[in-house]
Amino acid sequence: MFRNLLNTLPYQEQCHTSVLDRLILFMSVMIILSLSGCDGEEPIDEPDNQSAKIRISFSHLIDDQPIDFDTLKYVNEAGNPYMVNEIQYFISDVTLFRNDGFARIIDDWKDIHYVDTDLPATQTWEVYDKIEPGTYDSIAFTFGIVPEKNISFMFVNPPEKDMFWPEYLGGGYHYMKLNGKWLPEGQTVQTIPFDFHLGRGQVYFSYPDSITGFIDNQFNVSLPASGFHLNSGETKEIEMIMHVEKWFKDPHVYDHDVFGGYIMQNQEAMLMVKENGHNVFTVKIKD
Amino acid sequence: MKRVLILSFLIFIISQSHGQSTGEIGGQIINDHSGLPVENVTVQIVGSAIGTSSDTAGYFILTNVPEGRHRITFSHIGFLQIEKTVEVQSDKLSRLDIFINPDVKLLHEFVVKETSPDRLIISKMPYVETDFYKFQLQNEAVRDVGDYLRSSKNINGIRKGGTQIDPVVRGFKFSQLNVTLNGGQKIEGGCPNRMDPASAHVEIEDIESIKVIKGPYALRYGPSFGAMINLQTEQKETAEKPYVDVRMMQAFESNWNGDKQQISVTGGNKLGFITLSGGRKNYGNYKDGNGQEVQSSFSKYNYKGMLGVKPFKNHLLLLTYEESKGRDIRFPTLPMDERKDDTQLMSADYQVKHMGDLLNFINLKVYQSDVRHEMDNKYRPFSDTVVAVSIINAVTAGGRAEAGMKIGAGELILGGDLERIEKDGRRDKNMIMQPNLPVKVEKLWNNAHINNTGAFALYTGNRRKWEWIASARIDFNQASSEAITIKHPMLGEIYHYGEDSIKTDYTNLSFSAGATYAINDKFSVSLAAGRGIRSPDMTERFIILLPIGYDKFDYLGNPQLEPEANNEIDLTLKFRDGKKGYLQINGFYSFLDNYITGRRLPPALQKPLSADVLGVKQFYNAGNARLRGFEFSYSSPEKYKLGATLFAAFTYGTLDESVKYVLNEQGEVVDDEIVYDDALTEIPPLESTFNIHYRFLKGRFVPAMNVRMVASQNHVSEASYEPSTPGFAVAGFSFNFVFNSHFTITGGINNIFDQAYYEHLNRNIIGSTRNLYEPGRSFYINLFINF
Repeated sequence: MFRNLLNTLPYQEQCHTSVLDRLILFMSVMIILSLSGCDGEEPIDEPDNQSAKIRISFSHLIDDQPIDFDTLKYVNEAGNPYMVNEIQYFISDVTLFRNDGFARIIDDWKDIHYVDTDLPATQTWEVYDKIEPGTYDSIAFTFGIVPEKNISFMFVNPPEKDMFWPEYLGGGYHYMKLNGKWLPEGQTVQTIPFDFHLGRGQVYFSYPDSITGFIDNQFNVSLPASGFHLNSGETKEIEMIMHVEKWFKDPHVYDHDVFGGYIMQNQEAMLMVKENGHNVFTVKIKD
Repeated sequence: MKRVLILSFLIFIISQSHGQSTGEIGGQIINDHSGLPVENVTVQIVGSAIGTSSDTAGYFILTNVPEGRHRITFSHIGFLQIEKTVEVQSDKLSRLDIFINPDVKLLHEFVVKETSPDRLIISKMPYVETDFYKFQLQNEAVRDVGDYLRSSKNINGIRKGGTQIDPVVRGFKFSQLNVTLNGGQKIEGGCPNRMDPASAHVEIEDIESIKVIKGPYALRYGPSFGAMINLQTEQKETAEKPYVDVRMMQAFESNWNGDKQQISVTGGNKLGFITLSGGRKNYGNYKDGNGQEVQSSFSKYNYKGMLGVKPFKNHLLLLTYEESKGRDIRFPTLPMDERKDDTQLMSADYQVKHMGDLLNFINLKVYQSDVRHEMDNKYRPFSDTVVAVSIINAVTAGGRAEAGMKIGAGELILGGDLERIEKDGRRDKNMIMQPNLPVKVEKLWNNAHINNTGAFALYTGNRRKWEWIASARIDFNQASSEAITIKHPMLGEIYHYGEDSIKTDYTNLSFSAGATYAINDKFSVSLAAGRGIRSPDMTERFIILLPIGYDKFDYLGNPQLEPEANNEIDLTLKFRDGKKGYLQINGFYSFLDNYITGRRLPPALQKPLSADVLGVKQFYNAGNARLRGFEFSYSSPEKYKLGATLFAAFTYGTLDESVKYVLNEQGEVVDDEIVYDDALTEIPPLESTFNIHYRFLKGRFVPAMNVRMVASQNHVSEASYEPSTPGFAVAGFSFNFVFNSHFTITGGINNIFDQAYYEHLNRNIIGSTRNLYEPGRSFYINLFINF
């Protein structure tokens, strides 16, 4: 188009026109080259065969069966009939132990994972970390969050932010909310909600308004029979299973009729929960 | 480099192909009162058909002038005609720089002349330099400087709300652009999210002209990287006879139900002048082409005083003070609205000109720009859980001194400038969900400051058909901030980044050179190359976790950033013919070192502080990036009643290497991969604007139709998951009617067909994936009264 325009110029001398031809040609070539983005051979992104991946899924059972939520059909070790409405919890600092003493902590992208029985997306954790291939003896993790990382307001978006632990009770976040209802002794119909919550406990000078200190109740879970072999390029499926009934039985028999529906200010109860948690989880590793 | 050699060879061949038996006369025409170049001055050899007119930079050249003495007249409506005698020698250029004086009596006629909408005067500068004048601004229904620039040729902008659009030039944006006021004053906006870019602190009604120089070439006005935008406010003149000049403006725009007024009163005589002016504007929400109401309302007012004193002949002392206030400026794409903006702009200038045979002029300037910016999330959905209020004070103080001297056939300008930016701000969060909790205070910056001291040299010269320019500047940039910390009211410090005092020092050397070769009096070719370096800005260095990008991430500053460099080459062809029109074609290639952008940080390392964001990005030097593209401008000659203009521009940007974080269906990061030659984010697509107009009543009534066609943008960043944008075409109608020397009416219809569309650079409505659509159809009318 520009060429035609210039050719119509009445005052254009012939020698100028030939110069114009060359300049326009050069200009066109420059523009085309600039648009082509031909800056040499593009490097090829070779797939990484020196690492492997893991995918962790979470399932929740009672008496080895998937939970029938919102149904009053379970009885705990203390004999309380109960139902489960929802379970929300954090696990963090998942660590893979190798037989040569090497410990691989999962924290390249995130170190705290939130699980919610109402949110299926949270029940699968596609781990970002590129794991070194090899034979791993066991898996361990922190149930909850260690105090150094349990920082108030660090989660700004739901659902994690809704796990906040009130500041006056120590701040940070709940490790777990296991919400349900139980049928108190002597009742046949009227259930009472229980908030089986675990988080930072308090030391009271005089209950409930004089707190002298806080106690962190997170605990380590070492999963039994969690060894596996990881090949280069492989994605290993690891299923972590929470056996809900175990929260109430070993080593302490937890009785809802004794502790009531609300335990966030009851360190004795939360300590029982913590100590019962040691064998709540098992693992299933898929080949 | 190969292309440069080829071009140099071509130019050499061209230069050898022309023998001359005559001489040339050339020079620059300057307004004696303002010191600004005057374009469109008719230059004529008395008793001869040889003539031309000055370009946008005031330059003119007469070629094929027979040897001997000639009388030359310089005339321009609005200026007193002058005549000069020149001796022309064979094969030589006779340099003739002219100072002309405004003719106050004829100023109104000058306004009539200037209403022609199709001028495209082509500068001899070897790069793309564009000027926009007051009469052009008055033709539009624009609400701020960025809004106007975006509606003009080959410049884009980022819209976040109804006003205060952030300019983008060839994909360069933010601190990659050097925005100055009156040739040197800097303004640091308060908002880290650039609600208030520098251009938003100058009311468009006060603007006399806007100069845009694309590329790293305008080193005289501070570190220049991608482009320089100078906002020149209106400045009156002294006059032999005492005068009073009153100007009023009343404007209305439908759709927004917006109106604005301005009044300016000037009194002056030969000793000086004083101007008092003020304005206000009040706009409501607009409806987009879908009929959806966009939360875009705002109101502003400003007042200004200017005192000019001429203590001696050719000396001028100019004192300026302005306050502008913005209130309730809505930004539906941002987590907050601007509740209050209080800006004070102060400057003192001392200008001396015609000092002698060697010294041409001296300009001295000191200034201070204070911005107090307050924003909150009062109208955001999440204000029911957290009420956040941010208050930021940004103070920019500085000065500059320069002297121009004649060296041979050219001019050398030497000078220095300094600039100090201080910025402090905090965000108060009131946690509604925990009512007994004290207000949480987060620092946005922590007593951060940047000092930049620079020295520059600029030489312009010419010989025969060559015009060249070379410039260099050195900048000493020093920044410091106290440690970036976040304190919790009960837990104490919960975030700490960096040492107790973070300091960085950089020395940056920028330089550029270019030449224009006039093949004949109609056609020229220019080549320019330059390296412009900018130090990281306050936000890139020190921002503490705020969502300031186009994406939904909190950004974290990085005090260890290296300066970013733009190595650019521009090739420009210019054609100018009184019968065929004006044509300019430019191609540019930019190679950027240490390109500054953001990259994601693992949440294990840093979690965001803002609600509704996806994570944290930290600024880093991403290596090499490239920008290339072209611009095309054509304007028909003014002499015809029927006229047309056509502008087109395209930019293609890539980043050599970037990391893409692979997401699963839930948006969680599950892997990463390297992406080569990924698209740079926020690059405008190919676009063109066509205008056709007709001059009735000798140009006093000019109706025009505009069509803007914008291609879809599918070259988007893969690593950043940047969405593509569909193309669109939008039409508008405008008119300009100069009733007489006292009354002018302009008006029109924007978006005639009520198209629903959005620009690629528009941000998304906060908390959604919905795009911020442009306004639907609106009618506007502007009335100007002068007496």
